[in-house]
Amino acid sequence: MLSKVLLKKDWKQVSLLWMLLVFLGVVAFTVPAWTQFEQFDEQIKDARANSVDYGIPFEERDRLTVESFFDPDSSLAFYLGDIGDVIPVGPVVFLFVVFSALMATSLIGAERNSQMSDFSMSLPFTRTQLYISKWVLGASGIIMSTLLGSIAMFALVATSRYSFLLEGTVFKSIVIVLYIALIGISLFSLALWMGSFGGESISQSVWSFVALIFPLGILALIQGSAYSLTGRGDALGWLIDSAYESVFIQAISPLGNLMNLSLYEYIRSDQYWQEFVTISIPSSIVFIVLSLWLGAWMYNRAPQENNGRFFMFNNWLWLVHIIIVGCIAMFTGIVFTTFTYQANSMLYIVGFVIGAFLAHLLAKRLLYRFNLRLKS
Amino acid sequence: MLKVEQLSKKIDRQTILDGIDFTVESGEIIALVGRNGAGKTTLLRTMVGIIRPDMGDVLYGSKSIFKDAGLKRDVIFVPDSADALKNYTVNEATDLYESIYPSFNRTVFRETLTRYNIDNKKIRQLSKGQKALVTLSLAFAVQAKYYLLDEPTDGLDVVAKSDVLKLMIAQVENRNCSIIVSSHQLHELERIADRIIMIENGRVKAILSLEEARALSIKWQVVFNDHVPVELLERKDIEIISVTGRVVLFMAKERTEELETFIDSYNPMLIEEIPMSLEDVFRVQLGGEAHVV
Repeated sequence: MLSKVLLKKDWKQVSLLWMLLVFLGVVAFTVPAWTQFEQFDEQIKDARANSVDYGIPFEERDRLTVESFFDPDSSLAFYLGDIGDVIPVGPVVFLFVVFSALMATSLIGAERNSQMSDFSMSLPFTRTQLYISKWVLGASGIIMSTLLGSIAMFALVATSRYSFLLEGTVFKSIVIVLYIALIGISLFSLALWMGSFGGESISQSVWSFVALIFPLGILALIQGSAYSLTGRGDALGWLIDSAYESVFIQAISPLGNLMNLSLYEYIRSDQYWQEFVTISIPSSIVFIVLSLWLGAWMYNRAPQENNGRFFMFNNWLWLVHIIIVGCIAMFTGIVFTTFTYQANSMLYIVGFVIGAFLAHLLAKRLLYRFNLRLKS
Repeated sequence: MLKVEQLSKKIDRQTILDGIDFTVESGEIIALVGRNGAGKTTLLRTMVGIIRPDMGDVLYGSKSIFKDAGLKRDVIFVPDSADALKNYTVNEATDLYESIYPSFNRTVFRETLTRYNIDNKKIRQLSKGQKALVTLSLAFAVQAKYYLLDEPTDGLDVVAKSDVLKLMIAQVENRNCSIIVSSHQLHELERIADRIIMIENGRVKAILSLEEARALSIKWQVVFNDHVPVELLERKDIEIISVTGRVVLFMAKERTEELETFIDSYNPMLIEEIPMSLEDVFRVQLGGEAHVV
């Protein structure tokens, strides 16, 4: 199924980004960890110098060890954190978001912008092989970036004065790092999938952004609309809150999966850890499998003559049209309600109608006129 | 044998290919001619599986090219520009082709490069003629059986065009491969093509040998005794090329008895049949209303 030749061809297109991702991965894993250590140092130094301000009896000050600041049960020091504070989930995920989009658009969108797409399709390989080769290359960049970055980070922790943070948490830390890699691969799979129907680089980037925020965005719009119409903060609350935390949302949205991440709970609580291992990790694997399958399926079926267009499946333009109109209408309705600082169903409806009309014009231009004109 | 069976394709509700049907035998060069937008490029792209047809099939032997991608090792498409490989150096492109096609003959490719004095530069840095020669040489070095060339001489100077044509002829002579070439350079196709496929509005208008194509229409120079009759100039079924005094040069889509009788009725001093070039055939057969006086 996987062809070395195709990997070689695709490598030529993304080698620079791939290597940059690996390098920046090491930076993103180690620099925040190093900065966190500096911050711990400052806080400990400050606590020791001004122990009374921190509620530490003056006579106990000399008994304070560095470790005691990281002991949640310590009666002396206040709690500074654990290994979860050192693992830089935010910077690494941000790096993966940016590079997933860049690599995926270089692998598919840029191909569609040039004659490379025709060249690829005329080669003696199936479209599934073409797609899988692109996915493997992007996923390998994320894995390598995580691998080298996390090794450097663990080496940094292990050789620092805070090496005790790893005591008893090595396994959990490794699993968390693997989870970050899975989130990175999910983001890349999502961006690549969007390239299976986005006809060129810009539309692939736009679709990737929309797909990233879509499931949570829809929930937020429904919640906002319910509040705007009823004035009750708990309107649909039970439904929305459970939806945000649901396994379904975690499985269909890498962002939804990330929103439910709580390293502090995972390190400290076995119950949360079990949930993390049994829900969050499998959810991200499910998302990767789903998006890879859907991406390959759509890449196979995308009409090549629609390269250069905003959306390649002409038969489904009506559905995209309805979604654009619905989302923008709800958003405008919510924005209109904010004019009065309280719920106002009348303003919401006015905003909804105006937004729907404008969105309809935008969608018409983007999906029909612009969609046809974009064609190279 | 490469067989195109009832290939049809609609894009944006417009019929681009409409039941295209023909076969390509070994060792022949087929010229695909038609006006801009007739569907030539779409046909070539469909024949190699880049575009999927709405109906019909392309069979290599008994297998469909849309079901067995491996068949494309023997059916190579060369687009009208080298854009796809622009970021590759000549050597990198050679390595890529060698890894994709086990039959790639590096020696043959090197010989061509040496013959045309092409250095190992990035392909985008080569001249237009050199780009065309590199992409064609890469394709020919694959030693495939069928080549689909889209406008291979488009925008090239006279020398480069001649080099490209020589390269094509040499391949067919040496390896008995087949070439389907789409081009607007009709005087060049005339020199190399065994058969002509005329495409009009996505349909095959005619499949002919060059001789048959020439015999299909007529080009006459007629000298009248007095003046060129107005009735002749007003006829819709002919294309007037020039009128100089009593001399008129015109082409007609078909040789008809009615036309001959019509001309004879004016007792012309001279009727001379001028040999039709492929360009003449193209003009009179596919020129459309705009070309008919």
